[in-house]
Amino acid sequence: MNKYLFHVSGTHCNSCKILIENIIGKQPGVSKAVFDLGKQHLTVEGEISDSPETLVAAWSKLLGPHQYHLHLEKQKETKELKSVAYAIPLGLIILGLFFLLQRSGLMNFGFAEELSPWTAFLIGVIASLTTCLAVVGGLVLSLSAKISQEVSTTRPLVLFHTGRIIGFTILGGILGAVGEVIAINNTVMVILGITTSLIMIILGINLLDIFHITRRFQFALPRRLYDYLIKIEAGFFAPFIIGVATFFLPCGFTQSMQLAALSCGTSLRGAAIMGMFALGTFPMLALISFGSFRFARTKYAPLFFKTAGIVVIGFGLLSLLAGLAALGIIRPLFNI
Amino acid sequence: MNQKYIIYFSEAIGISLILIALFIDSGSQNGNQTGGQNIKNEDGVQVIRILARGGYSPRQISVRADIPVRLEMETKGTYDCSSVFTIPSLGYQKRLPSTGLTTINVPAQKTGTSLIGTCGMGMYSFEIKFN
Repeated sequence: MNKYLFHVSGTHCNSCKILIENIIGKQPGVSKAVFDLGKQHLTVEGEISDSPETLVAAWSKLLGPHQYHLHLEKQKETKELKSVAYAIPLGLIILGLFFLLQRSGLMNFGFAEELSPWTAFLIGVIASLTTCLAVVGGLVLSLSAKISQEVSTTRPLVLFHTGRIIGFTILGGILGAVGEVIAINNTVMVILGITTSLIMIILGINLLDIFHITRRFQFALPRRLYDYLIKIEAGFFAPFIIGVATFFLPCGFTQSMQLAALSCGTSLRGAAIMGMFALGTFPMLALISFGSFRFARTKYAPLFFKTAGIVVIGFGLLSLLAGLAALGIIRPLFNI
Repeated sequence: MNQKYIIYFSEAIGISLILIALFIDSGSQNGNQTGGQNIKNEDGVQVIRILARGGYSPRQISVRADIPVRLEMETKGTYDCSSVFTIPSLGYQKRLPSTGLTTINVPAQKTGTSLIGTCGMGMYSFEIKFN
């Protein structure tokens, strides 16, 4: 029975711990693999005949695709801290450009009175670049970045977008057919929005992951949920349903499209308007989610996650404060 | 060392972009503030017309206290957040038609109070002060 200690870098969260333990635990001769997330120590026990150097070489091949690196010596953490130093200004600049774009008035179009599905498509494009970007885009960014850390296929993302477009079309059709019956109370929408912004802030802090100490207090995924997420890789429903559910996210454009679908009177037209609107938002949202997935697999991954963290926290705070103002709890602090 | 300055520099750019966007109000634009002579008085009711499209304008309005107010929310091809209109303190919520005029009767308010109207998500707002 021997016992080895390795240092692992590139881990983000409790899910990484479970993933590493799952991979190494299955290796020949290994009877027990325990990863300490705080210390970033991997302790391996078992009847192992190979030398530690051979093990590092062999196991690195297994962990490499997940962007984890195995070492015998402790690695300095300067690289990680450096990426925070770059991520803060990058994130701030992205947020600043977003605000400037809103303030410039470039995006304040008026549209024709009669809303055609093509106009709905155009409005979708604009929505995905303006206030809706803060809510829906922020949520998509935080979820995609998080998913990219957990699973290794784009399938959940594809399902999310499919769910969003199909869901909008079908629900738009229902709105057109039944009319005012399912108009949603704005207070409910705002509370939903505040919840979303809190989730974004939590995920953002998670993505930032500045201090290793915070990892122990992280909003870690319980093992069962993690296993469930792994199943998402092969599964179908969860990302699809989340995509459909974005129909109910408070985004002013979505709400006025819903109103247009309500008042148009036929289910076909309602479906066309909402479906085209969702299609219009697709390019930007696809860029955000598939872009996250690509970046998560490059050497810029730590920088990307941290920049995404800053942007997501910024958008989260923005929609949180706006939501509180819409409820009349605080005075509006700004006008976008 | 050099790198450090680049980081500080870009941080400063980021923060100032946000500050410029948030606090240097688009106040130079016309029609952001109104009050006094510009408020029409019809049959003892102060009439305020507000355009809702990509935000509200005017955004700062001062009217006389103790006189009822009629708010006329005007929409012209409005499909953004500002079409979902609320006045939180009055519990008023309405999805404005994409084009049209929506009238809201506000009872007389006391001196020194103010009313805030926001869009559904709270990202756009305007304020009416009662003097």
